[in-house]
Amino acid sequence: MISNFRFVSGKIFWINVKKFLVLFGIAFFIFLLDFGPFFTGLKCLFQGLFNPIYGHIYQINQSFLSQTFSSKEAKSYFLENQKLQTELSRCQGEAVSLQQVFDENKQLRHLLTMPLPSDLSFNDSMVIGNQGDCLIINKGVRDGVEEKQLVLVDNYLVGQVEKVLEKQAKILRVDSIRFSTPVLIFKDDPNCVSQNQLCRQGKGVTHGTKVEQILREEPVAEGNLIALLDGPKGVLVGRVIKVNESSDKVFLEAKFEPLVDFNKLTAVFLVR
Amino acid sequence: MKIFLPKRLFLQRSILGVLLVLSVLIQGVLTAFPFSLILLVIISYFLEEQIFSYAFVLGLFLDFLLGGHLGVQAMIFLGISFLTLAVKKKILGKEGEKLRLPYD
Repeated sequence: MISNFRFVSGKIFWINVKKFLVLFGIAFFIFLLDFGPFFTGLKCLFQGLFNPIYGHIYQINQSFLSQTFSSKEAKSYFLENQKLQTELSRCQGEAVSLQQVFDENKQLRHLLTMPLPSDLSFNDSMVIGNQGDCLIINKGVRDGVEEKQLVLVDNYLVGQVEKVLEKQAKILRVDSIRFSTPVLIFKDDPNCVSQNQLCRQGKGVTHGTKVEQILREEPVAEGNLIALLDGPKGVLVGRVIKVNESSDKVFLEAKFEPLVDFNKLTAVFLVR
Repeated sequence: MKIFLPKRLFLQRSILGVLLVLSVLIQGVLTAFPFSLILLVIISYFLEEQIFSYAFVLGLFLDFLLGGHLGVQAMIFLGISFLTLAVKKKILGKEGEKLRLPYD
């Protein structure tokens, strides 16, 4: 009885197995080769040829689907859905745009309330990038930006324009090792003027986050404020955090920290 | 009759080939439903061993269209067509080669 279940011929290979095996082998070989980079070019070529066709077929498919709904009700729902999706995307775009304007307005209002030197005029600009010791702003030659212009936020010095492109400019940060400017060092005491004391503690030249060439007899101390010497008055560069002797024992050196958080900067002013 | 038979066969096979190519295009572009595989099984019945070449070429074409790993669809198509042919021969083949059932 059991023997009746066997295949009588004992072979199913009278099908053209040789042809099958050859083709299967080739397919398997291609499968293995595709783990390497052998067919990448061919695939790219194929995709380059077929992508436009895909686009056309997709469009035709969409219009076909929209036109061949069996019931009118379903078709109207489909069209309404499409219309609502378009409206939704438009509203989302508008909402984002309003948020953007609101944020910008808030930032500029905040900046305008800060004590910027009143005798200077400014160009506002947005920070669009951070590149090593430089910031990238969205104003360039066509907005009248020039090299060596000072860049402020509130009354703090951010840096100096280093390179100007057509629509962008590169700002060299004040804490950069390549930035150097003469500075004055003052006491951080608002009563200093009223007490008829000498508020200036010393002067020097910044080099990175150090003020160098401070005379030894000058009473520079931790917490003193550093202001720009060569430029508009009242522009602060940083705060002294450590004072020590220079390596040649001739001068003092003061290490300072910038008063600006460069990572959080979104808007700056260019001194005209 | 001798003249018209090859032409008819040629026409028949061309139509089947075009149908297969269309099904592969539909599967590759419009839907994930395996139209081409179903059609391949049906056409295997008519084309017999010649289906292997079609299965190989169309499988590769579908691999390119789907952007997947090359050779996978070709192997699947070849395997399915081989199985279809084997089953066909065993069920509908010559009397001596059929599967003998207990009630025969």
